[in-house]
Amino acid sequence: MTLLAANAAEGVFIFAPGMLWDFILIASLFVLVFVMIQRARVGLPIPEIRKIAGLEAIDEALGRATEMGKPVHYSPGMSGFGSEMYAALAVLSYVAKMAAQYDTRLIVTTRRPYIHPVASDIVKQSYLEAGRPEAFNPEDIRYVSEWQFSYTAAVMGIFQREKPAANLLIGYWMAESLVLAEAGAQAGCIQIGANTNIFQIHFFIVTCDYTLIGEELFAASAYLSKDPMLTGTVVAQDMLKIAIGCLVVIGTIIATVKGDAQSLIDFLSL
Amino acid sequence: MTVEQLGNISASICIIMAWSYLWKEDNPLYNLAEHLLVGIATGYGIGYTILVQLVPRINDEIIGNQHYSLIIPAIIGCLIYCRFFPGYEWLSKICMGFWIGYGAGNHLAFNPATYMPQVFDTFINLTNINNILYFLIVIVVIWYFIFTVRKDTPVRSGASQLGRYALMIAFGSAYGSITMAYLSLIIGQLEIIFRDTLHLIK
Repeated sequence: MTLLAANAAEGVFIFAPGMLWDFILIASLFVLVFVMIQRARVGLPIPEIRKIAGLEAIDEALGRATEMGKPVHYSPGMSGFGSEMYAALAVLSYVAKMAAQYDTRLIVTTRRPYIHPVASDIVKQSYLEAGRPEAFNPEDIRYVSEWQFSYTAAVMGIFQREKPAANLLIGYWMAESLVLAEAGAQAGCIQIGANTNIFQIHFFIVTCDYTLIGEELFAASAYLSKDPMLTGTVVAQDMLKIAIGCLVVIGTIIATVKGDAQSLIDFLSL
Repeated sequence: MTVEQLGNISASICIIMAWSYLWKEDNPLYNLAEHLLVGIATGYGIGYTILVQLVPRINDEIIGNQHYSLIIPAIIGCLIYCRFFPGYEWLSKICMGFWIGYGAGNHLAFNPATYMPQVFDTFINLTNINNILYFLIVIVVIWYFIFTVRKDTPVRSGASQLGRYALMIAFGSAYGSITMAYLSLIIGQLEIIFRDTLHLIK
């Protein structure tokens, strides 16, 4: 908004300055995703996603909770609406469907008040799709607190009182990551953590049974659903990552040969 | 007793109540601390929202500056309460639709701008071992996060494995440094108990 207002004042109306390549990047991603989805639609082969242990383990965690007759705890993380939250809600949809099929109680805790109704609707819809709408209990989808450590303290209390058999912490996590994962471990949960925050993910690696590292979270919905169209979006992202890898190689070669890559940086800053 | 002393004593009691979790998971002291924290945060949040968000916007912006257009998002925001009225739940989805759409649009529009400078920072001279290592690690880690290319040859799988090891070394190092930061937080809490409240240390 600020950028747009500034540009309007300067009489620039089409592109914000210095964002041409950002636009090209996003436009390329759109085109690639569109092409891959079309390929999937007409039945052309789409590469498979490699095995991601953390996602394979979700079924195992739900199975364990079912056998033990205990609930599953799921949290979509601390962020607001953004890529991590959308990915976490996509995984929630899968987990809720599986929980409904296994007749396992699912407790979802949210930190943001505006995420709560979305999470609630997703779980309700998943129970409906699983053919068990009567099993949906709105009381188990809980808004806890907007404040980081109030949320943490309350979820730790839920771990103590309700003793879930599985704890799924999927999304963006900050300083509470270690506290929550450690409390989950003490409560005897099998734990799957996913975090895109590189400054906190190591706490999940040491305390959780399985961890999704960064980008692995964004491949989750396609991986879990095995839907070729969703897989197509992951293929498109991979192609963009390869292009950026090539750009890194080109930039490094130019920097090594010429002393610096300022000319390339200036070009890409248009 | 001064207000400061009372504050220190309350803080010390709350710290001990919270730490009682380490002694026994399900104990009344921790439960009290938990409910106090959640309750106080909720109360503070409501007060903050009314005094810092709601009142200035209504008084200063809508009434004072006559920005009546702000009434439109306010009405859309209020639609979220339709969840509580059977038959009108669908209206709350309008509000959520705006929010989700804004989140997706904002993310797509402004996120690449944060990534490009990171790419530029990888354009470095391969003239010393540090830079060569840096470059190689960037490449193998990008390779590790490519999910749909088969890693069925020794070179492909080896590079991916190398990327994983590089990540683990980085995470190990971050773990050490952040744990040190947490230790300094614990020292801060101990100072409240032993220095400010009990005056046992100077």
